[in-house]
Amino acid sequence: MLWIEKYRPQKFNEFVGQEHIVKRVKAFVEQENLPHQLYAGSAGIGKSTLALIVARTLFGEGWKQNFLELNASDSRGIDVIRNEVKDFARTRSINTRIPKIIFLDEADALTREAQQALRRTMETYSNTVRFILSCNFISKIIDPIQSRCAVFKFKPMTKEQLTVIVKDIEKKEKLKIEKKAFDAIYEISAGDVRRAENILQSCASVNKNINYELIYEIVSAAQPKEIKEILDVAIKGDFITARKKLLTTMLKHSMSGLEIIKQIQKEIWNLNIEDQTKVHLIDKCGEIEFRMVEGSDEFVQLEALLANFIRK
Amino acid sequence: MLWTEKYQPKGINELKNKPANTLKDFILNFRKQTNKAILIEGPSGCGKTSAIYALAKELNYEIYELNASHFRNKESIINLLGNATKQFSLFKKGKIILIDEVDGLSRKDRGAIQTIIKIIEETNFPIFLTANNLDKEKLDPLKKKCRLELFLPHTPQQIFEFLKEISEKENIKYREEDLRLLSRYASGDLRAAIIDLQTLVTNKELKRDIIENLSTRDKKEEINQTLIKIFKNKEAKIALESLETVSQDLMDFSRASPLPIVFSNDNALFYWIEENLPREYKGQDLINAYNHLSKADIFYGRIRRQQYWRLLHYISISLSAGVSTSKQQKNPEKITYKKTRRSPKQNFRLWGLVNKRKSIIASKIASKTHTSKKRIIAELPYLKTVLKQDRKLQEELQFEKQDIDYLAKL
Repeated sequence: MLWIEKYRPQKFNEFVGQEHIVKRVKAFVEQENLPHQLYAGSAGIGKSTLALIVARTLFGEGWKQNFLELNASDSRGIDVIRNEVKDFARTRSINTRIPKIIFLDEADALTREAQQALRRTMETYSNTVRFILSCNFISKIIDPIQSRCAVFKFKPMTKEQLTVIVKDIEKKEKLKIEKKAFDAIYEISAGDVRRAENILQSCASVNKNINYELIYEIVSAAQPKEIKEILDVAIKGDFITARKKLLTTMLKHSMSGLEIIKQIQKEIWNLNIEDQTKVHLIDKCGEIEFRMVEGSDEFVQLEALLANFIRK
Repeated sequence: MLWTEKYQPKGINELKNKPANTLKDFILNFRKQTNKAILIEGPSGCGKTSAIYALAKELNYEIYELNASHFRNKESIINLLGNATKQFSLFKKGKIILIDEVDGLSRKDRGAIQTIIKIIEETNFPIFLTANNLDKEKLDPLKKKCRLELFLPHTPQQIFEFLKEISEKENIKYREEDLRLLSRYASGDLRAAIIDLQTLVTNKELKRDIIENLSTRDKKEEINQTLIKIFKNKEAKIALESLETVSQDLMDFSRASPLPIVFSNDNALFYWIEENLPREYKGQDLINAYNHLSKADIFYGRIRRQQYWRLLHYISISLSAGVSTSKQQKNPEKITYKKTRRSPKQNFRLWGLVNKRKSIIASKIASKTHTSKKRIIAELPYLKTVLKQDRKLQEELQFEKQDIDYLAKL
C-alpha cells in the first residue's frame, strides 16, 4: 500500500499540526452543524485529510455514500462538476439530519467564470449539501465564494511536526533513520508530507536503514539530468540544440515551466561561471518566473531565460 | 535614417515622367484657376506626396499637411487648416495645402468631406489632395470641386535607375541584375523598392540570396518578406510597416493548452519569429530580442485574462520594431525560415514524446489516494523507485505490463 494512504490520519486526534483549525472543525462536526468551508494552503499539509476526517466522523460506516470528492484540476470544466453535483445532491443523505458533503479539491484551478457558476450551485443545493473547497492560493478564489465559507488558512508543517509523522512511520515500518536524514527529508520536502512519505517509501524499498546519502540518491534520481545538459549546451552557445532539448525534456517528463525553473535555479550554483554571473542568472529566473504567471506561453518565457546563459 | 526620406526629390527636375510643370503652373497662376484644388490619383509609391514636397522646396513655399495620421473629423480639420487657408505665410514666399490620402477617410472622420469642400471653396492658397483610388462614391462631390491629375506607377527601368543612384551614393557593392530583380519586384512602387534595398543591404553589400527569398509572391513568401524586414533591417518604421502586408495572425489567439506544444494556430507571426530568432541573432542581440517576445507574451496573457485588447498595439510593436532594433549587426547570411518546430504537424516526433502512459499510471494512483492526477505526476519521480520494485503495490494499483515497462525506463 502506498504510505500516503496507509498513514493518512483517520481521526481528529491523529491529525498532526493545524491545532486551531482542527479544534474549530471538530466543534462543527460535534454540533452536526457544518458551514461551507474553504481550506487554503500549500500542498501536502492536510487539507484533503481533514475533509476526509470530517466525513468519516460525521457519517461513520456509510461515509462514502455521503461524500463526493471532485478535483477541479482533473475534471473537464465546470459543466462536468455541475452535473456530478446535481446527481449527488438529488438524494438526501442516509442520516437525514445532516447534509451530504462535497469536497472540491484545487478549486483555484477553476476560472473566474466557473467559480461564479460554482457559487450559484452552492446556493441551489444548500439544503442538502455542504461544500468543502480546497485551494493553494486563496487570492485566486473569488470574494463571493470566500464570503460564503468559513475560511481556514493552513500553515506549513514545522520540522517538529514532520518529525513526529516520520518517527511514527519509522516505528511501524521497522526502519532505522539516521539523524541527519531527518533534516534532509524536511529540507527536500519543504514540509510537504506527501512528498516526504513518498521519498521515505522509495528509500525503504532500497534499504531499511535510511541514511542521508540514500535520500539524496533517491532525490537526485527523481530530478532529470537533462537540465544540466541543457544549460551546458546553452553556455557553449548552441542555443538551438539547447531549446530543442528543453522541449523534449518538458514533454518526456511532463514538467511544467515552474518545475523547470526550480531545477535551473538549483543547477546554476553548480555551473562553472563567476559568482556574479550566477547571481545575475538567478535574478533572471525570478523575473521569468514572474512573467510565466502573467503570460500565456511558458516555453517562450523559458527560451528568453535560456538566452541569458549563452557565454561566448 | 530612412533612405526614403534621405533621397526625397529636391526639385521638379528630379520628378520623372510626371506632369510636374502642370502642377507648377497651377501654383504660380493660382488666382486664374477655376478649380482651387488638384486631386492626384495614383498607386502607392508613385510619387504623389513627393512631387508636392519637391515643388514646395523649389518654389520656397510652406506646406500645411493633413494626413491619415491626424484625426480628421470636422473640428480638427478646421483647427488645422481653417486659418492656414486664409492667412499669408510669414517666412516663405507662399503656402501649399496638402491633404493626403482622402480615400482613406474613415467613417469615424465624420463630416470630413463636406468640411474639405468648404475649405476648397474659401481658400486663398493652392490645395492638393492625393488618393490611391477615386472609385468610392463618397468622393464624388469632392471630385467635382477639383481638377484631376493621374500619376502613373514607375516603370521597372525608372526604379532601377533610382536604386542604382542610391547604391552609388551609399557606396554599396551590388550586381546590376540584382538591382533589376528588386526593381521588377516592386511593381511600380518606388518607396517599397527603396525600403527593400535598405533592408537587404548588409555591411555595404547587397546580398543576392536574400533577394531570391523576396522574389516570388505567393502566400508563403508573404511571411518571408515580413521576417526579412524584421530580422534584416534595423529601422523601426520599416519593421512596423511590414506587419501591414502579412495575413498571419500576430499571436496564437486560439491557444488553450498549457503544454509547450503548439496544437492551435501554428502559423501565427509570434511563432515564426520565435522559431527563427536564434538562427538570425546571437549573443546579447538574442537576449534583447527574446525579451521583446517575452513581453509580447505577457501582454497577450493580460489580454486573455482581462480582455484588454488595447494591449494588442504593444504586441505588434514588440514583435516588429522591438525585435528589429534589438540587434547591433544584421546577420549577412541567408536564412531559410522554418515553421515552428513546436507544432506536431511540423514535427511528428513530438507525438511520441507526449506520453499517455504516464498519465494513465497517474490516474490509477490518483483514484486511490484522494489526490489529483496533476499532483501525482509531480510526485511520480519520488515514487518511481518503490513503484518499480514492489510487486504487491503494482498489483494493488492494478498496473498492467505496459505501465510496469514504462516505469522501468524512468
